[in-house]
Amino acid sequence: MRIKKEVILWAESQAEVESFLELLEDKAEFNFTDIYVAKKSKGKRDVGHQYLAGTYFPYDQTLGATLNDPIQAPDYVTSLVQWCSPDLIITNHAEALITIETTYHELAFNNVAQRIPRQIRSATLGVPSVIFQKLGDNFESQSFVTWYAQTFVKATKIYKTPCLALTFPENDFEKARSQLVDLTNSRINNSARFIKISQDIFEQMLNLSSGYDENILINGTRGTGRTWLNVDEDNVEVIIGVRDNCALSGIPNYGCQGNDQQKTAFRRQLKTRDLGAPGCVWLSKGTGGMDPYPGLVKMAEILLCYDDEGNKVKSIASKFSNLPKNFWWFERNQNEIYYKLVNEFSEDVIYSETYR
Amino acid sequence: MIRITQTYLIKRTMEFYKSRDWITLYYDYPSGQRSGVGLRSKINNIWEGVYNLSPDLLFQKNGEIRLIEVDLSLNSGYVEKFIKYKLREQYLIEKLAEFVGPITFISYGFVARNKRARLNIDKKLLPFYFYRFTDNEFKEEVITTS
Repeated sequence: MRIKKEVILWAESQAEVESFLELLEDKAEFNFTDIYVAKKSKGKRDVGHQYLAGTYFPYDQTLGATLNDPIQAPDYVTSLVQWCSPDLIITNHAEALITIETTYHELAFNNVAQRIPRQIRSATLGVPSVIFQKLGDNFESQSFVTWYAQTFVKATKIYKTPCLALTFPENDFEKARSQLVDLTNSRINNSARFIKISQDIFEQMLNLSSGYDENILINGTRGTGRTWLNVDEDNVEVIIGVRDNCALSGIPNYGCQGNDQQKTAFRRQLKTRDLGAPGCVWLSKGTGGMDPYPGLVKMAEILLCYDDEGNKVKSIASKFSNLPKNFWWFERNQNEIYYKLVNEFSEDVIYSETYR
Repeated sequence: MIRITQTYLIKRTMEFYKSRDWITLYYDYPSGQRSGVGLRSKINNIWEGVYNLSPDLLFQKNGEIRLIEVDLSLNSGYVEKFIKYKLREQYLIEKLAEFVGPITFISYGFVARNKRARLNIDKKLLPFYFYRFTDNEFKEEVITTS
């Protein structure tokens, strides 16, 4: 009997561990000697970002539980998570072998780029990556699916590292799952097979991106332009249109624009709001309203700032079109990861002079 | 020492209900992965389509569906969430029945690590099943009056 290779799993949270072990079923041709998790969530909203400094928590495979005492991750793990933790990182004792994202949330316009930076980070460090991404049944008619596929095609070329998107509509789930398991097994056990499976997936990505049209990305199908993108000869500007909800409602000193006491009162009101009534992301989420934007900036950079040979030919900027630089959330959350990443990814960041 | 995470509680609750002959129809770990595929995906679509929310757990036994939320403690936010579910319950029953067969009613419950706070459970939600996970086991409290 062949002895299975031993590797280590570094997961974003215990939930990713459970889901990945389910996904592998009994098909893994390797053993995890150790499993660690980045976020030891007590509840839904308590996640923390200590993993950015390398703090991880052991997961006991016998108990099926995360343990309390942290360990320090090696640099080759910590460096991979600086643009947010990938769902899964598989390493041996010397290097990272592959990073994996898995999501069953159908790819949609408003989440098209959200996970892209994590994989680009892997690619910049020469670590192969793959996202296991569900598509809607009508994916063939969705132009953003071609942007998504083209981003990974181009990143693979720019960084000369497999940066793969293994996409599947619901009906092809089992086939895609089998391909993901094969890819993972081969990365650990068989380099030649890994190259072959990577190429197969790359061919699928090329096929998915075949309808990509840069002109439609920049100007829209009607040719009237995009509200979130300005492109000229030398520059690409991503327009970040997120608003402060209270500026929208026009009520001064109220809600998330009020003082701490007013913010607390508003938070209470939000809990009991009617179904469908607007909430306030700046008060209810640690990442505020920033979730989609680092990915959007990085996707725009990969698609529009590099030529086909992988040379950087345009600069990238971000513009907050509705928020001034002194918006209270920005001032209080300079180090919040998504806000920090928008600044890191952009050669220039422009703010509105006032609330719009 | 182990950390009692929400994922751990969800996993243990599934084992607990399975030992009492309930079928797990749906589970959702707090990972951002959302719905899964197959039946889980269909159930997720029903809830997200109506509420833009989905439950943590859904079990079925003898025509009863039990919806369970899991967190550190039961607070007023969760009670509000249950009441929202209740408002469109008949619609949920009809849609679910298309996939899982006849349903008589939906009951509600909560799994918590901490003791139940002194909260009034809206009488529309009764009987309400509160489970406290402590000393590695579930302590059940069935609430029948508000």
